[in-house]
This record gives sequence, C-alpha cells and structure tokens, in this order.
Amino acid sequence: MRTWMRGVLCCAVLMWMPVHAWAQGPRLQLDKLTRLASQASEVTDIALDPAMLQLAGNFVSAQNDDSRAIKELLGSLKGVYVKTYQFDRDGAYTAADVESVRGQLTGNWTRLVATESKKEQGRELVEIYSWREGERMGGLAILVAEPRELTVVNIVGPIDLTRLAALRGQLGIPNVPIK
Amino acid sequence: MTLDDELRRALEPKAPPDGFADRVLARIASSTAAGPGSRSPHVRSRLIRALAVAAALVLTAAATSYYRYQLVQLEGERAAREVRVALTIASEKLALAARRVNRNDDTKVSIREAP
Repeated sequence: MRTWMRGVLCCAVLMWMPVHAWAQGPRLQLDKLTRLASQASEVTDIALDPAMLQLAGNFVSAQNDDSRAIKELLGSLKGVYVKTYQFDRDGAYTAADVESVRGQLTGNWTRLVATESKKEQGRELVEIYSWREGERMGGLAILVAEPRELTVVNIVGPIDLTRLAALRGQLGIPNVPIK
Repeated sequence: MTLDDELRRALEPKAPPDGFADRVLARIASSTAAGPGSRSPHVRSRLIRALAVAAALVLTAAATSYYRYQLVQLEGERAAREVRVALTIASEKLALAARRVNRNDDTKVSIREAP
C-alpha cells in the first residue's frame, strides 16, 4: 500500500514539474538576487512590463538609427528585466545565487551559448538561453557571472538576436552548430 | 357676543389707510425704473461666491490634469531611458559572449543554433 502511494506521489511530482516550468513562461523570477544590492557597489535593476514598454515606445523618438531599432524591437516585446550587480571584491555572490537563475532555465529554455573560463580571479561564465515557442524564439535570458559582476538579462517576447546585437554595432552570436 | 358676530365684524369691508394706493404705485414705478437686471446686494454676493467656487473648481481640475500629464511624461521618459539601458546591457553581453567564443584560450565553449 505504501509503495503504491509513493508511486502515485512520484508520478504527481513528475507531472507537476514540467507543467510548472511551462506555466512560469519566459519570465524569470529574479527576486532572490535583490539581497545582493546591499553588498554591491553599483546596481542596475530594470523591470519593464508590457504597459511600461508601451509607454516607453511613445517616448523613444525615431530620429536616429539606434532609436528606430529600439522602437522596432519594443513593438513585439512583453517584458524586459535586467539586474546587474557590480562588487568591489571577489566572491560577493555565491554559486547558489547563480543557480537560483540557472535552475529556472529548463523546460522550454534552450541554451544557445555557454562559455566558461577559470582564471586566477575566479570563474567567468556567460550563458545565453532562448525560450522556444514552436519554431520561433519567445524569450531570451543572458547570464553573466564574473568575479566582481553578476548580470541577468531576461527579455520576454519574440526578439531578433541579430537586431539586438546590432544596437551597438556589435556582431551577433555566431550561428555555429553545437560541438 | 356670539361667534357669528365676531366673524361678521372681522370680515366686514374696511377702507385702506390714507395714501396706500399712492405708496403701491410709487413702489411699482421705482422697481420698473431699476430694470429687470438689477440685483439686491445679497443676491449679488451669492452670485460672486458661486462664480468664485466655479473658478476654483476649474482651476483645481486644470492643475490636476496638468500634474497627471507631467507624471505620465516623467514616467514615459524614465521608461524610455530604462529601455535604452536594458537593451544596451543585453547587446553588450551578447558581444561579450561573441568575444569569449572567439577567444583563443582554455575557455570552454558550447554553441547551439538559434531557432
């Protein structure tokens, strides 16, 4: 009887996990990182929901190329969330802080790029994830963990990586198959 | 004296006091001469007070709507600034990833084609 109940419980948990991950959508929960603000020397915390993005769209003048590109990108976005913490010393944040974000990047999230290098100062990690909605990208997550900086970018909605990268005249991510 | 007598005496016709008709005619003549637009001081002060209240209400409504407009303007400008900063950070981090991918050192790299 107990074995039977345990089996049912395990099935329920296994069924709930992917549903839960899907229900969360491409919006990441970054609240756990806010505690780092007190230790950081510089903090950038941006949270723009659909209403704010729409309002911002009305105030971005389409006078130069950059502004036009931003206006075009904004049209399809449903949310932009950025948290950047810069520290005066190494090790101000923990692996658990990074994992609190990485742990959410499962299910529909696909890792596009991951680079990791270990240096004397510590680990440097750059990961880029896309949220898949069928054949197209429905969201983007960028996680950058450096010895003195932790950055999480979460863009909700369809986004063109090439256009985003081109905003600063930079090259986009190389379209190379997985190694 | 009975009740009938009292009623009869009370209701019997009496002549108006001397000069009553003249006084009534003079009053009519003076009010016609003043014209229909004239107001007594009491009515005029009430009118002024009502106008002042209405003006105050209009001014308050205008100030409130201007304040709201200013708030929306500030919010919009702030949101536009934040969008610019957020997309710049995202763009910079994409460029950082590209630099790391192209770096010739012991960096571990894995890449998958974007959908």
